[in-house]
Amino acid sequence: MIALAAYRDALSRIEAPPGLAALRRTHLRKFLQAGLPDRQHEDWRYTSLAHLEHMPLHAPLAPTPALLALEAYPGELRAWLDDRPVQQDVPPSAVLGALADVIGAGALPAFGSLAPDSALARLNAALWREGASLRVPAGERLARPVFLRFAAAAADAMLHPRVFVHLAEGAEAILVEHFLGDPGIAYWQNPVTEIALEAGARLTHLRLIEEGPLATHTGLTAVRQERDSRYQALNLTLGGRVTRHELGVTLAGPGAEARLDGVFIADARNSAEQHVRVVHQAPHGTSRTLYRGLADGRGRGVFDARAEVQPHADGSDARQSSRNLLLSPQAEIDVKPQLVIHADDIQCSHGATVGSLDEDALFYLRSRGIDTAGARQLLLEAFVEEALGLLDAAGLRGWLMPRLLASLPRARTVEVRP
Amino acid sequence: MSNPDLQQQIEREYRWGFVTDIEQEPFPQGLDEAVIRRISAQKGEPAFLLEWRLKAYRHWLTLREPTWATVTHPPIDYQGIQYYAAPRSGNRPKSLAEVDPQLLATYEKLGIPLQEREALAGIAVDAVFDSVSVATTFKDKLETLGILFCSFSEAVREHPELVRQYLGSVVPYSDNYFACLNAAVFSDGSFVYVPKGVRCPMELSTYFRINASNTGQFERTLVIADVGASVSYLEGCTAPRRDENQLHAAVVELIALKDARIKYSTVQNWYPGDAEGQGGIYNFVTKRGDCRGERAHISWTQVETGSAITWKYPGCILRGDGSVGEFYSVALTHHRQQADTGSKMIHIGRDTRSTIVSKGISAGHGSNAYRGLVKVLAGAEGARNHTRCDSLLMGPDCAAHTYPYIEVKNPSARVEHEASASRIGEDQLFYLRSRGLGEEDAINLIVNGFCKEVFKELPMEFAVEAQKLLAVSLEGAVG
Repeated sequence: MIALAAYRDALSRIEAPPGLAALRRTHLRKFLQAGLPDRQHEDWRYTSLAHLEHMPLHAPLAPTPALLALEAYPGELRAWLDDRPVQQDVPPSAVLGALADVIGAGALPAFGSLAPDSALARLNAALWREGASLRVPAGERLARPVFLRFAAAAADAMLHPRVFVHLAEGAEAILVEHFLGDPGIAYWQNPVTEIALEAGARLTHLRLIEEGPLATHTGLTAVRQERDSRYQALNLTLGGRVTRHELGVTLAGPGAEARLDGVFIADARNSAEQHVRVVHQAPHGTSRTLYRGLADGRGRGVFDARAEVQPHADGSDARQSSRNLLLSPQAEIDVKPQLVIHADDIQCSHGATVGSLDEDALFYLRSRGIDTAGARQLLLEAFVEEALGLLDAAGLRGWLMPRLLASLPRARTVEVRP
Repeated sequence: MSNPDLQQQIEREYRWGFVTDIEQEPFPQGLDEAVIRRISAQKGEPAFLLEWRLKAYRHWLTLREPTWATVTHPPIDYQGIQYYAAPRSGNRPKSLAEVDPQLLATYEKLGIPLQEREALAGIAVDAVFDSVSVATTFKDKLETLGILFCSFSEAVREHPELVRQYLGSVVPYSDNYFACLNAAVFSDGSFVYVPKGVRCPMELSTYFRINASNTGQFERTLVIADVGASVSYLEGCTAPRRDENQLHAAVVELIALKDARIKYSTVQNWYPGDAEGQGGIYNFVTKRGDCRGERAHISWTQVETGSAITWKYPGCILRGDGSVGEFYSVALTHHRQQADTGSKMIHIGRDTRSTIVSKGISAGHGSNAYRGLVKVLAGAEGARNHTRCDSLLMGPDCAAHTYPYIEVKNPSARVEHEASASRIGEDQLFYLRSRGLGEEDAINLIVNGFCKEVFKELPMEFAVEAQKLLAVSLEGAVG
């Protein structure tokens, strides 16, 4: 059974920031009343978290000796290991600080208001210990990308990192969140990131999930956009036993624009889930959702997207595209592209496909002297490339591509239908 | 852009709203085992059927009404419904001449004069008036080919072995809340059996009509096409005006064996309620086809313009290798109508193919949802699906939703889904009007173009009726 004591114990050890204790207790009580979401819940029909109930979960007390070497990041790095800060390139500043300090100083009135009232968001709100606050003042543009690295090294750790991002009017930034962990252990990362973009602000947000093969990741990103702001996201899920990312974007001000790209790879016995919710609240908002999914081995990929146009959000333009490849007979892809529309002066569409690599294209490449494995690799690269348009503008291609290519399903001989 | 004529058109009374005054043989309101036993006894049913009804009823008691559909309505009082109503006409008439003239007049008003149809259109009509079939035409002609086309009660009496073999084999009584209720209390419906290798030479048709006030209707239709057989079945509905909501929970089961072909077309025009959402029919239907043999083919076509609430997902189980499932739908919601409709395609056999084309039109405060499932199981080598669902929005208060589920477990499958939602373009309207078309005609032209893919699947005269229905329901909806 679920280790209720583990959650209560984790809560009892949290002190900072002062003033949140009552709120944390309320969140935990509500979470414990409902428990972990199960598959009876429509949004959870493809995911089971039952295995978490059998794990001796705990919040690691002290940072485990670093098992994971820090690689080079092309920007400003802030790193955590088991929810404890391990390295800071730069001292805390008004722009990039430790979340608990900033909240303690009362500087984040919107904190906690963007994330939805879901069970796991509540759990994070109750149990987060460490996190980052990124606040860019009006009109400023951060010269270098900000990297937030959340790593896990303690077996059965339960980690609830929290990030709050606020870009004031006309501010610009590039944010990269990187989640990873020791490949030999089972752990659970349950991060929540809240992002508030004021009028005309621009954020490019890259989120890379490279969890270990035994890990569970249930992340949430909640974005609120004011007038003419632009949010561009690239969500990559490359590893983890059970990974799930919920991305909620609210276009609250007129003319706001969201571009949501993603690539997910589910191989071995992994399940990789993407849940995207875009709410057009104000007129003339634009959203583009473009995801590419691969399922190999016994993997299961899930893409669930909903574009919602609220009454009077006239001139809204919402497009979704989801293309998916099944690379093995035991793999599975589930797609749920939804539109919920309550206005008439709008343009909405979605397209979704599930299939396998084009045999004609493979044959063509082979006739040009490329072997099957090479041809397959080439086609897979081209397939995911469609969703990687943000990389060049953000200057992150060089950092990301080797990781992505290494994660592409290994070339195998193509199974020919009898 | 509105003009008074259009407003008048759209607000005009429901044309088919009248009540035929026929003596009823009423059942008490409410539902318990005694009522079910009485329904069964009244219809002289064999023991196995009563047993089945009771099993369904007991299972129903354990179920809760589903809430996942995007529809809202006041709670339904299942004990406030009269579960069976039959015209007090004693024995079944042997020919049209014996049919109660008042009943015939009712059909006349609906535009389905039986004799005329018989002569002109060559359609055999099995008309359901409330719960008992009153007339079956062309039966003899069909009988010479070995085709059975009769009311469900008659099939139970004359061909219990067929009923027993197939009843509930596609939609089991435990399938869902409303199908379960139907299994317990179903009153009548149609039964079709087309024997091996026979192509049914005419379109078979049933006109349903809900007449008795406060009577839920629970039809059950069973269509079986044996090996190599083919049949086309039409179902069309109009209901008289009522202020109280009426519940309708029908079940349709189609069974296509090897190389068989079934085409099932529906034009549904039940009373949708008035502009404020008062009254109207609640239509909670379970329709499913089972392609049991190789190369079986089942095709659903529906035009839904009526009902306050429509809740229906005709589906196909593509079990036989190479079998084909199709779903073509136009659903229109106006005023306060709500529709949650779509299709399910379950690919089990190799090289199975399915097509879904769904066109939703929302006007006024109407709400229209497409909800579909395409599931490709691991063994469905080479399965193909193409789904297209489009929504047309008219007016700032309407709503259109799309909830497709795609679940694929076979890498050789190819599944494609596309959807779009938009309103009628001002520029399109302007262009047509600059060519001399009135606003009304221009809208009709655009809407008909939008629905063309579906209409072309309808049998000829249904296509005509469907276009008229849309025109009547939509005039003035854009303003």
